[in-house]
Amino acid sequence: MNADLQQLVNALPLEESAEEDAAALALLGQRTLPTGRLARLWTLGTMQAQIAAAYAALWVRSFFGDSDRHAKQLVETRMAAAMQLLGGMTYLRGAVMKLGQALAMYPNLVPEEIASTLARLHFDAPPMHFALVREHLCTELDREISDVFSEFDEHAFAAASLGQVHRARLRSGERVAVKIQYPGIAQTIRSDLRNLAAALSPLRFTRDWENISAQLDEIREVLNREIDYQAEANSLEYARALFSEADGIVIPRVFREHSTTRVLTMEYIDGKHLDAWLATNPSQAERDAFGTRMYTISFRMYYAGRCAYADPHPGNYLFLDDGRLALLDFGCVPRYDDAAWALLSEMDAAFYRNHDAMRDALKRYCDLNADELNDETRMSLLEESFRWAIEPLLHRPFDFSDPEHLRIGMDIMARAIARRYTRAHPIQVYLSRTLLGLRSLLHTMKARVDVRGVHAAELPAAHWSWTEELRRAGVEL
Amino acid sequence: MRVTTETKEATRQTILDVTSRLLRERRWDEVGTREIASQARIANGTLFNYFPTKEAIVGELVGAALAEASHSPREGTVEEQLFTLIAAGLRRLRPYRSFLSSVIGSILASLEFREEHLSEVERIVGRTLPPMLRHLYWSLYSGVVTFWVDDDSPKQTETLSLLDHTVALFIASLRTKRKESRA
Repeated sequence: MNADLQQLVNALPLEESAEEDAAALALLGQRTLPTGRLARLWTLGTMQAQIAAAYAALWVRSFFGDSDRHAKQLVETRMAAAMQLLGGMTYLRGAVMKLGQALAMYPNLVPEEIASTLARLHFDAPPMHFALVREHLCTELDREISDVFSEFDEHAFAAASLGQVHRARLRSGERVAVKIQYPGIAQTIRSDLRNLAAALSPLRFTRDWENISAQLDEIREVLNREIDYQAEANSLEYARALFSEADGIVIPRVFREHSTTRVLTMEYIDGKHLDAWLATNPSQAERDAFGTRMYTISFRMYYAGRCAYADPHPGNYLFLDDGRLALLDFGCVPRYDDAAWALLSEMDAAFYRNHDAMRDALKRYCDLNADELNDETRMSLLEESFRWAIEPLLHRPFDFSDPEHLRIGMDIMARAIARRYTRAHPIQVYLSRTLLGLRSLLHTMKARVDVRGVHAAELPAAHWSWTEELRRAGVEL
Repeated sequence: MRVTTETKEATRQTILDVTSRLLRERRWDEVGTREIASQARIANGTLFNYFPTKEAIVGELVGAALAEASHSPREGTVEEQLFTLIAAGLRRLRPYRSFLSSVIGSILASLEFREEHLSEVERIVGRTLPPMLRHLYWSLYSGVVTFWVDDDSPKQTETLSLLDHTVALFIASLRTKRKESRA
């Protein structure tokens, strides 16, 4: 067994469940999933919940020293119960899948086999049969399917995290993709989050509670947006307006009149997913061009849009034959408020300034007290993490095919979790997801990107005063 | 005066139509038998020759709606057909949902309705069900309908999800049963 996997298994809280864990983990090794709808639902829930539980235990364990054995056990037991509850209810497949996907994005923390299994599940989700789809659509749109669509493919062509997507053609002739949310999942997620907060409540006396609680609030807010397809339609339209034809980036148009909070009808885009595109053996120039577009998306949304594309999952990108890149899923696009934006401005500026400026920025960003500032181990890990974040800006172009860069990033993250140095501004949840997600994607693509060049082109849209000052001082941005 | 069977049937239908209309316009407790009789142009006492209570009239209406739903077109797998059978029934009942909680118990207890619905289920699964599976099906079905009557989620989406799981569960129990009988 892989060492990482063994470590996870060891971290599982309840010893008596060891056999079950072993069985669940053994399932991960099977290439084919058991068929049959209930069986698949069950397995999906169980294996992902087991991994989630292992991570949670590892994380919780880091909060307590040996002296707090009793408190630790209490928290672990409750966490384990919460996770088993989550994984045991097939009803929750969307939420558990989402968690699985997030874990799948970190290939070095999760052994490769698990990662690829989880990544595949994104497309292999157990389907809603057509009778359910028809009934659900009819209720949502208040019309029969045939009144709205001239064609409707009974089989979903993709699984969305909280539902599935069908190809169709509108009566007016446009080809569309109809994303349908599994009925009732929104209410379930809301109650899960309440349960999760309750399960974590024993942590409230620890120094980090305020931060954990803030991060939970942030997750709750984003999940709430994610389960509301009207909000996703808003994000789609918001992002669409940030790009022009010349960018070579496509964001599908929304058909508002055929969309609700649980149904999203958008323009259908023909293209290849990452695996299919890689199978065409693209040239280095093509890899670089697509990689550059990914960075343009990320920086444009960040600097001009003051938001993050926080779900850089491979399934969310489409590679078009004409070289354009399409972006599909806008369920997770958190926007920064003024306070967060000011902090981010400071972090960005620190790149051009001296060591003290960087420490100052980190101090505010991670809300560090005097003791923590004097903790050299903590400070140097934070600095390492900062240097890792900016490293691609230092090489022109930066070659993402080098596995070392990704490995270092994973290693920093693992150490930060182990030493419970994870406290940071709540937006960090999405920033690290964006950074690691995008970079592991570019690594898979073996792309080389002039990150500094893209950055210089996109940064001015932020209208930060210091950029002008630096420019006047002759600093190259 | 002797009342012919046709006249009887016509009066019965008028009572049903009037009640259905009144209940769409107003709340359950705002509609009384006296008003139903007067709008149907019959004496109050005559009404009771046809239906002993207001609940009995609604029971008849609901039964008719459900019977109609059993004959609506279905396609797809056994699971999809069962799903459609129940979903179509709920769709027909939608106009009556606001006052169903007071009558649903007696409707589900009606042997005639139960037999009719179960034979439709047996047509879909393509075989006669043993008593235990009939009980199981009926418990699940009654549970879904009762849940739906009080489902306050937007557009009753939670019922759809419950129905999906219920049908999957029943299909799974059909398979289990088969394995047992083979063994």
